[in-house]
Amino acid sequence: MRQARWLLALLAVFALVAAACGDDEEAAPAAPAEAPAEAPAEEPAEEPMEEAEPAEEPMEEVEPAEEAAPSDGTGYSVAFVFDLFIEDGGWNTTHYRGVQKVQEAFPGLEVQVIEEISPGPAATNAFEDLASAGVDMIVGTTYFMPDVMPVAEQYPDTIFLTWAGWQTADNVGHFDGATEDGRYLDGLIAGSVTQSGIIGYPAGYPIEEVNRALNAFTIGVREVNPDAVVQVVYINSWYDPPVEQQAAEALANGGADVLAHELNSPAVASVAEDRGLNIIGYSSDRSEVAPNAWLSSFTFEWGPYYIDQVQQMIDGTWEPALTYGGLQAGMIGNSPYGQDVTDEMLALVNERRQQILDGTFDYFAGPILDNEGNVQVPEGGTIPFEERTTCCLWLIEGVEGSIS
Amino acid sequence: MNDSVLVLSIVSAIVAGTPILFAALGEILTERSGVMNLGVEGMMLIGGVTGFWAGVQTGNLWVALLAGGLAGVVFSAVHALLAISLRVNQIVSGLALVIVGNGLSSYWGTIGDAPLIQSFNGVQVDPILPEALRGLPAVGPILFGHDPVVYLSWLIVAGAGYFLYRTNAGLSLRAVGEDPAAADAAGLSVTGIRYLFTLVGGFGAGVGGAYLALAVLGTWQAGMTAGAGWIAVALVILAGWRPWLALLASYVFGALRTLGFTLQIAGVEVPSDFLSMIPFVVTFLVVVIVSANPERARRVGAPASLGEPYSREAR
Repeated sequence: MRQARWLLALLAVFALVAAACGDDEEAAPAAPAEAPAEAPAEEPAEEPMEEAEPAEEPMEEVEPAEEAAPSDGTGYSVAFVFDLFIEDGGWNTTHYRGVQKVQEAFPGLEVQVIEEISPGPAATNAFEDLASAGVDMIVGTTYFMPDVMPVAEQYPDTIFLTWAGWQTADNVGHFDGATEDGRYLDGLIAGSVTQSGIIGYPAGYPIEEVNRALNAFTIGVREVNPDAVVQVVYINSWYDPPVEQQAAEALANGGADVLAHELNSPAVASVAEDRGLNIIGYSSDRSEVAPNAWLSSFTFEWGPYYIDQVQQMIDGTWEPALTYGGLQAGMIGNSPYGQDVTDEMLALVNERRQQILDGTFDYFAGPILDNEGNVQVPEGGTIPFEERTTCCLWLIEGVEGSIS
Repeated sequence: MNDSVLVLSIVSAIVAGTPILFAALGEILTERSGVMNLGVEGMMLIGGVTGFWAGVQTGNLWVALLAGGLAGVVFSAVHALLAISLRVNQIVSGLALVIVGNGLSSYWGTIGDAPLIQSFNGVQVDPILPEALRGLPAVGPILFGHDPVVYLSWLIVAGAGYFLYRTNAGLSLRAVGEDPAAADAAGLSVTGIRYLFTLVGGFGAGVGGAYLALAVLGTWQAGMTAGAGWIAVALVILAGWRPWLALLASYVFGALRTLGFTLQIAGVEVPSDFLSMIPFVVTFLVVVIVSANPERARRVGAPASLGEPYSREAR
C-alpha cells in the first residue's frame, strides 16, 4: 500500500512537471516564430526610425573592381538565419519569399539559408560561425538582436540585420513591417462581410505591435460598419494550435461570424472553414485551408528591403538604420482575395490603398477614443508614422476586450 | 448559429475532449495491467502525424485513424519491451517516448517535397445523424450533432466498462495489475497481458492524436498536442481508472480549454493560464486526498502494482 501511495505521488509530480515542460517546449517555437513581443515594447521613443545617423564609419571594404554597375552580386555573400523552417507557410515563408527575390535580383550573389536556429545561445553560435566564415551580410529573420549584438562587436566588417531589433551599432541594422497599414485594409473587408456585427480576433500578447494592428483593423471595420465590434482574446502565445483553435471556437460560440487573428498556425482558419464563417489571415494566404471562408490578408514583403540592403552593401553606401516600412515602402502587400470579397469592397480597398500610397489619407486621424472612453488622439491629431512603433497600450473604441 | 453560447460551448467541449478521451481510455487499460506509460503525449504526437499523413494520402477517416492507432502501437511496443521484458524504470521509459515522439513527429512533418505542415486533410469529418435530430433545440447539437468518431468513443467507453467489470478477461486484466504474483499463480500470463494492454494503450493514444489532427485541428503542426497527452495521464488518476468517469472528466477538461476565452469575451478576466492549469491542480488535489488514506486509495481503484515490473524470480 505504501508503494501505491508513493507511486501516486510520483505520478502526480511527474504529470505536473511534465505539463510544465510541455508548455516550455511549445513556447520555444512560439516566441521566435513571431516575436515582436519584447522588441517594440522597449523601443526608445527618441530613436529616429529611418536613419540612425551613425558617426561616419568605414563600412564594408568594397573592392574597386566591383564598380562595374549594375552588379549581379558576384563576390559577395549573404546568409539568412531562420528560427524555423522556410516552408512553415507563415512567418518564415514570408521571409523566404524575400530571399528568393534577392536571388533573382543578384544572380551572382552567394546566398545561404540557415534554418531552425532558435534565438538564444544557438543563434549566437550560428551568427558567429557565419561571420567567421567571411559572410558579408547576415540577416536574422526574427528577434535575434540580443544574440547578434555581441557577435557584431567581434566582426566589425560584417553587416548584421535583424527583425524588430532597436539597438543599432555601426554594423547592425534592423527592420520591421508596418502591419497596421494592411490591417486597416483588411478591416474594411471584415466590416463589410460581417452579418452579426461581431468579429472575433484571437491574438498573441497584448503588446504595442498587436494592439496597433488591432486598432487599425477596427478603424477599418467601423468605417464601413459603425456598429460592428471586434472581440479580442489574447492566448499568451504566438503559436499554439490547440489553444488558437479553442479561442476561435469560443469567439464563434459567442456569435462572431468573421474571424481575424494575429497568430501563426492555420488553426483559426480551419475553425472558420468548419463552421461556415469567414477568415482574415495573418500575413499568410490561408485559402488552401479555408477555400470557402477565405477573405484576405495583408502580407509582409521583405524582398524590396532585402534587395535595397544588398544593393547598398555592394555600392559601399550601407549605413545602419532602423527601417520601419508599410505600404509606401513596399514592405506590406496583400494576398489574393477570397470569393466572398465583392467588387464593391475591392473598389473601396483599392481606393484607400492608393490614398495611403499617395499620402492623402491617414486612418489614424483623430479624434480617436479608446474603449474606456478616453481621448487617445485629439481632433485634428494623428499618430505620426515615426511614432507608431511606440503605440498602442490601449484598445480603440469598438474593441471588446482588455489588455490588462 | 442560433444556439446559445452555453450549448455551443458544450459542443466545443465534447469535440475538444474526444482526443483526450481516447488517450485516457487507452491509458486506463494499460495502467489496469500494472504498467504505467507516461509516454501518452509522445504516442499522441506520433499517432497524429501518422494519421494525418494517412488522411492526406487516402482521404479516408477510418484508414487515417487506424494508421494513427497502429503508429501508437508501434511506439508503445518500445515501452512494453523496456518496461515489461527488460524491467527498466517505467517512468523514465515513458518520458523517453515523449521526447522521441516529439522529435520524430516534428521531423516527419517537415521533410519531403510536400511536407505535412503544408498539407490539408482531404478527410471529411461530418455529422452522421439526420438533420431532423440535429436540428432539435439544445439536445440536437449536444447529443446528435457529432461525427461518427465521437459516437464510437461513447461505445468504447461502454465497452471498456463492461469489459473491465463484467468479463473474465477484464478480471484477469485487473488481477494482473493488482497482484501479478497471484495472477501468475492462477495461470495467467502476466507478461502477455501486460504487453497486450500496453499496446492497446498505444492504440488509444495514437487514435486520439490522429483525431486531434484530422478532426479537431484540421491541420498538422509540430507539437500540436500541446500537453493533451499529459492531461490524459492526469485524467486517468482523476477518473479513478474508470472509463465512465474518464468520459465525464475529458469533457470537463475539454470545456476548461474554451471556458477561459468565453469568460474573456464576456468581460470576466480570468487568466487563461490559470484555467489551463486547473486539470493538473484538480488531479494533484485528488491524488493528495486519495493517497492520504491507503484505504481510500484502494477504493478509488489504483492498481496495487502499478508501475512495478514483475519478475517471477524476484519474489
